[in-house]
Amino acid sequence: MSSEQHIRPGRVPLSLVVNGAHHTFQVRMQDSLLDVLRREGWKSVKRVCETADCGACSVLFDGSLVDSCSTLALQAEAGRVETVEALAGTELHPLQQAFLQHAAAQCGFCIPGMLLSMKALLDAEPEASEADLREVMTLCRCTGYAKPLAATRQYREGLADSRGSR
Amino acid sequence: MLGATARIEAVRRAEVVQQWADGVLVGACLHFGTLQVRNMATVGGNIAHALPAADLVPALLVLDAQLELARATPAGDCVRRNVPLDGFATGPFTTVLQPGELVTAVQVPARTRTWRAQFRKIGRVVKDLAQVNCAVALQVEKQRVLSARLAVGAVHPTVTRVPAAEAELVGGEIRGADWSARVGRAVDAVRSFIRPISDMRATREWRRHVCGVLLCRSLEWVADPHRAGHVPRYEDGQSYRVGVQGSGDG
Repeated sequence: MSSEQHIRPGRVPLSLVVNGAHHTFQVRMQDSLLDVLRREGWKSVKRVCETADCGACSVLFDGSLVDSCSTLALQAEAGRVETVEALAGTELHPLQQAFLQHAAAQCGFCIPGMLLSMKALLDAEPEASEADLREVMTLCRCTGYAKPLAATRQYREGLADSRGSR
Repeated sequence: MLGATARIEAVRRAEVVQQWADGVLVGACLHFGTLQVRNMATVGGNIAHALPAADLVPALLVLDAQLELARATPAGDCVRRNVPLDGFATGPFTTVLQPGELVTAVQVPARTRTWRAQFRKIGRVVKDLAQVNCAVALQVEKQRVLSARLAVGAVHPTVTRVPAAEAELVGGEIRGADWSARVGRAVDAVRSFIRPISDMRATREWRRHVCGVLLCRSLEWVADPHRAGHVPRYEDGQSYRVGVQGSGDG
C-alpha cells in the first residue's frame, strides 16, 4: 500500500523530528504545531492562551524558543522540535533538578514551558540578568515566580561554576 | 539591509545593529513581545502588518528606511520597486502594497549610522503592545542639530513622523539657551498633529500627554553628551525605559 493511501481527506503529510525521532504526521492546513504535538501524544506542551502571551506551549524549534500555539504546523516542515521530554536523559536535567530542590512547581501546568524558556535563555545567554529571566518567565497562575526564579538562579550559578572549573 | 524574513531576535543580536545609531533598533527589538514572539516575528511582518503600534517602525522611520517590494507577474517575472517606509502604511492595517506584492527587504542608509537616537515604549506590561511608543534621531555636528527625526506610534492611524516638530529642532544648539524652548515647541507640534484613539489600553488624552513626555525624555537622552553609548537594556521588570544600565535617568 502506498503512503498516499493513508492520507485522510483534507490532510497533508508533515515530516518532523520530535525529540530526536523522525515522524510523519497527517495534519490539517490550519493545525498549529501545538495541535499536532498534543494530538500525537506530547501532552507536556500545554494549551492555554493560544495568543502567544503566556509561554505554556513553548517548544524549541530548530533550537530557538517559539510558541507552538502560534506556529502553523506546516511551517515546521522538516524542522527539529524539542519538548520538555527531551530535557532529561537517564537523569533529570540540572535545571529540572534545581526546580525539584526548590519545590518550584505547584500545580505544574506551566512548568514544561518554564523549563524550556529558562533553558533556552541560559543556553543563549549563560549570564542572563535577573531582568532577562523575569522577561522570559512563563505566566503561572498558582505558584508565583519566586521559587522558579530561585531554581533558575541556582542552575545559572551551576553553569558559571562548570565554566570556571574547565 | 535587513531581509524581510529576519527574525526580531536575530536583529537584536546582530552586532552591526547594536552599533548603529546608539542601537535604536535594538531598543525597539528589546521591547518587542516575548522571546518566543521575537523568535517567530519577522521584520517584514511587523512592517507589512501596518499596526499603528508596531514597535520596529518608529525606529526604522527615524533611520530613513526604504522598503524593497516585489511581486510576481502572471508571466512569472519578478517586479521590484522601492518605496520609503514613510508613507508605506496608509492607515491601520492598510498599506500601499499591491495585490500579490511582498516586502522583501528594508534598507537603512549608511549615513544614519552615527546619528544619536533612541526608542522608547510604554505599555501596560513590558510584553504588551505599546500604549505609546516613539523614536527620535538627531544628526549633530558641533552641538548644532543638522537634521532631526521624530516618529511616534500607537497615537495615530499609522506610525508617523511629525515633520513640523522636526523643523523646530533643526538648527538648534543642543542644550543651548533656547534648546528647552525648542523641545517644548516640538512636543506641542506633535501633540497637535496626532490623532490618538481611546481603547482598552489607554485613553486618547493619556496617549497625547504621554507621547510628549516620552519624546521629551528621549530628546534629553540623545542630547546628553555623557550618555553611555552601549546598547540599551531593560533596567528592571517594571521599567519601560530604554535607559542605560545604572544611569537611573528618566
